[in-house]
Amino acid sequence: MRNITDEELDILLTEHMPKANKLLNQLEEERDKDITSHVFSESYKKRMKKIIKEYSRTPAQIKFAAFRKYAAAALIIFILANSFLIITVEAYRTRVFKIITTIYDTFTSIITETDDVPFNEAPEFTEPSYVPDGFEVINNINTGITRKIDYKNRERILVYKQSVLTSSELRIDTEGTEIKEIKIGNHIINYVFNKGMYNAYWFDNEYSYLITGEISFEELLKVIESVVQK
Amino acid sequence: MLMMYLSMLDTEEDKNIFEEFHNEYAPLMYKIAYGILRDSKLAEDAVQEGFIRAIKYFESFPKKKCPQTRNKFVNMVRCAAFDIYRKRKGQQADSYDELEETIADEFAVTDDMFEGMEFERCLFMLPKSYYIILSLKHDDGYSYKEIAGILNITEENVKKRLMRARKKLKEIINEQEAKI
Repeated sequence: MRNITDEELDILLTEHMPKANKLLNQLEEERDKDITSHVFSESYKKRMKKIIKEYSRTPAQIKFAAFRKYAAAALIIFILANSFLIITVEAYRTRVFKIITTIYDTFTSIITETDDVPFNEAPEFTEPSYVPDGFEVINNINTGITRKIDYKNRERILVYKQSVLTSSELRIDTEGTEIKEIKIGNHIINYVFNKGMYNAYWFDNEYSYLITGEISFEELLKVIESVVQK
Repeated sequence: MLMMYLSMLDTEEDKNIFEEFHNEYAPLMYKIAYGILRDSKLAEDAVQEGFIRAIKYFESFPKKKCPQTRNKFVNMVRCAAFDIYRKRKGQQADSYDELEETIADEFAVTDDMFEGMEFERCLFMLPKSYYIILSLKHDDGYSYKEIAGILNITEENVKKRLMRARKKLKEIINEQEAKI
């Protein structure tokens, strides 16, 4: 007995794979002969109709629809990035807090609850001393309780957000993924990669931090380190 | 993402053909998906996913109803149904495949079916994911990149799985020869 070579195997596969598929088709036909003719559900028909409709659009219509989707995605990112702002004014300047993380099928909810102990000092905001090459500041906002800096590198975005701890909820799209932890300095950083984007968040006694970006993991760590070290 | 794939099919002819192909092959694709999944709702999902995957590589499809076109749609729905099956069993797309069911197991094939078809018998003794990837490569002639798109795995994993499939096939051939 000798071992078959790769070249011989290629020749055999090219010749016999179609024959094997033909045989498989026959076996499937025999197996499925008792399956009654299926009437597709309304839900299926609706979805396929939509797919075929999309299929029938002119290139200009397709581009317009794609633009609308892009605009909707940008709005969602904006809302997510600003979710720390959904707070009550009464909760401003508080520092004792607890975090409740709930994982759902499609997203993870991180709720921070604070008590009413007032802040004595004005918030001190920091900013990353490192951002990856090519990213430039396109927005720099300080609302008094939140500092948000948006960076852009061509089509890639990076958002840094630091907020005074308040009662609020952050929702991160974690569908099909899970949030991981890494320790940097004295902080436990939570991060997740989903749909081409990293989300990292952590807390200290006074602030919450959120970094969202289309960057590599190494770059993400460097950005976080540059904040934590401060 | 679907928009992007759809935009690839930008001639009226392609669009009409796609609808015709849907009407022609959806019932057959459903039967195959149902045979694998034994669940009506999941089978419909697999058919839909099969068509979406077909759109991606529609350029390579013959633009007429023929056995080759039929096989391409059938292969798409097999891949989609098999992915759903694996997910429901909690297996990862790139998990180790050696312990999977073979086609020979599924259809309880008998020796007399393979009279003069020894190599086909060996192919049917492969784990299903190995059979499917070899079929995509050697029957449909897809590239590594295209197979990666169809199976929703990385190109690197396509190469690894193909390598393992070929190794396993060689082992089966040797075992069969030893029996003779």
